[in-house]
Amino acid sequence: MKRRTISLVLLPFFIIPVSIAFSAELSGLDIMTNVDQREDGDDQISEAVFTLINKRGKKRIRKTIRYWKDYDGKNSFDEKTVIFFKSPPDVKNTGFLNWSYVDIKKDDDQWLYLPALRKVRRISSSGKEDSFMGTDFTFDDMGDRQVEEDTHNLLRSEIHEKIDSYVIESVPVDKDYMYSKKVTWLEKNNWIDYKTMFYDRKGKILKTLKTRWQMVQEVWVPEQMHMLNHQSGHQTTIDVSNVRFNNNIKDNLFSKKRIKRGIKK
Amino acid sequence: MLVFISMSTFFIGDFISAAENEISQINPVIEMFKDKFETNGYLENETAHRVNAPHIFPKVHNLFQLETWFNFSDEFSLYGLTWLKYDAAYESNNYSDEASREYKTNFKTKDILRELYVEGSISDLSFRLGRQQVIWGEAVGLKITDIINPQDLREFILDDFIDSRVPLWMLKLEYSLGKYDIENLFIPDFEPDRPAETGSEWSLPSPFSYPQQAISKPGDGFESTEIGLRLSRFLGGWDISSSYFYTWDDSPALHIKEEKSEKKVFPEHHRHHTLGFTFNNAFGKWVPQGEFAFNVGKFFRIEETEVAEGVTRKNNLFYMTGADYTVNDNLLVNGQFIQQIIFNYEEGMIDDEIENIFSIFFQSNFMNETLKPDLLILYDANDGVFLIRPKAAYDLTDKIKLTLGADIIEGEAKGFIGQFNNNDRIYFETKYSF
Repeated sequence: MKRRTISLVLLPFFIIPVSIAFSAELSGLDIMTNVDQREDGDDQISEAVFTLINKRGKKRIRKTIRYWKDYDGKNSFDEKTVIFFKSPPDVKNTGFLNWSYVDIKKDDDQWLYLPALRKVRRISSSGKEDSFMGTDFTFDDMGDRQVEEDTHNLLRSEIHEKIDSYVIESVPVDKDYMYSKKVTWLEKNNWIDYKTMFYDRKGKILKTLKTRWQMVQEVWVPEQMHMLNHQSGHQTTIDVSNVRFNNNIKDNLFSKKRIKRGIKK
Repeated sequence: MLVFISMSTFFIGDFISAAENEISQINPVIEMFKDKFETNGYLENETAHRVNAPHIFPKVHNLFQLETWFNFSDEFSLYGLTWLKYDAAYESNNYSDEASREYKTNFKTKDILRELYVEGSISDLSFRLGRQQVIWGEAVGLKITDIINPQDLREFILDDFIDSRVPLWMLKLEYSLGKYDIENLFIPDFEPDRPAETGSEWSLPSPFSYPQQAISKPGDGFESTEIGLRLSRFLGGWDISSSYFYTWDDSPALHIKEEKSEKKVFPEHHRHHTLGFTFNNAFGKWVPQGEFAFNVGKFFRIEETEVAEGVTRKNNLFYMTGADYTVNDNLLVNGQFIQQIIFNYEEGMIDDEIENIFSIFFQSNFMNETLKPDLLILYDANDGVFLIRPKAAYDLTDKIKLTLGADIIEGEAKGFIGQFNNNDRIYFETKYSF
């Protein structure tokens, strides 16, 4: 098991060891540190279907395949991710490449392969607050957020939706961050975050994320995530499938050269 | 007729998908191979209308594109890209007085088998062999080191580069040596730029009144092969690359010679060397980038009074510096400064010694990225000419995209761009993807 920093918001790819113990004396920081230390394997491949629904009920579908590898500090890399789009047709083979570093002060390096141009474009990683491909998830929601980037406060314990839960309030250290705070409900006996509410900079409710989990290879991984934007009425559902761990993914997959070749069936 | 062509794009794609499902259900052999096949394609209609007189439709372009992959394995595949196209503008406008039979044909199918190659990889070595496009460079809207493939100039410089590049038969090798990524190109296939046909909307008038002779093209054989080499590396956050391309100029030099006491134009393609360099990095919201091409021994036109044959050989530098800036979730801005410098400039040369171009590009999105307007403005400072290209694309569904745009040229009727200042147009595109 390795210590890792992982976003509070999940994103399809976390797995949780069922054996983590808990103490009634835990602080908000303790709880989030335990969540952060979940095992997630050396690498991971998974597929996802994004269903985007506007307030009039009109649907759009995006399908992706994601490759992730933990570098655990090797050559100063924390992790690398590639996401390929399988559909819709006009974005098929679009590839997004992300390199993250152990040094949290160092911005991620990101590239986007655009099949319509047959070019790889370097993109700004400062767009973490931008929407991911038109969904209600931002790039930051889709990636890892360090525990230290927020101040965590245990608000209470309660039975919520029949689940014995911790309720954690996370306030970003950066006052210019897109959210003023997040409130998360965590299942006490297995550290699963099944509900998160996001508040905008004015303190108004912005989005609610609900996550349903599944057991894969005896490990908990998200099965479905649903994000509702209360202010726009738009919502996104991510259905995750075909999750596989420790595939010995080659380093050369996480390169500009490789993402130009697109996804292979 | 035009409405029918546009509307057909909405329905034919559904027929194709349904037929595909029917066939696979009937034939188990096809079903067995179906897993190895991937297809992608679209049916598109692009219709343009002139803003200035004559108020005609210079373009009623219908294109069916089909991409097919056959995956032998995870590492080896065969790729084909087919085009079937037909431009009804010829039928609707009276070009017959100025057009040749060949010109009529060019409104119809060309490049049926546009790209066809086999590609594969073994460890760090990958190859691609066949008819293909290779794209180098960073610039938006201009080609500086992106000179591997010639261009179809039927629509001047307004067509998407992915469509205007002419694929060539070549071998591309890519491999890594240490921290360097290396790309080699071997191109035995020569094709020149395809100028717009005489009398068409974007045809370039001949600068001479002398009769033009047949174009002298490179012969077949290894000695005519074009060779490219590019080294890339990620260093300290910088993406950098350097390149060398030993190439034929895709535009012929126009030699003026006397033959039997009559001056004639002898177009001839010549070799030159191009040394290239590109860079980019990301600093917060900024992504600075640059692209340089140093051409050695390129031919330029010169007044006959200075040099009898009307051409001279020079070295020149063509480069771009610029940056992307992410304003917010909805707006990206790209600005570029482009300059061309001719060294050892001679009096009487037709091109300016130093040419300056500025460009700015705005890209935005709304309604969860279903509506994507953008605007490109290019300014040729030497001629005082603007090229303004607004466009808005809307995803009606996941498969249907509608685009409305315009190409506007403002300024005096001179120079490379300004000569077409009467060709302003608006256009509408319907695209069905499957």
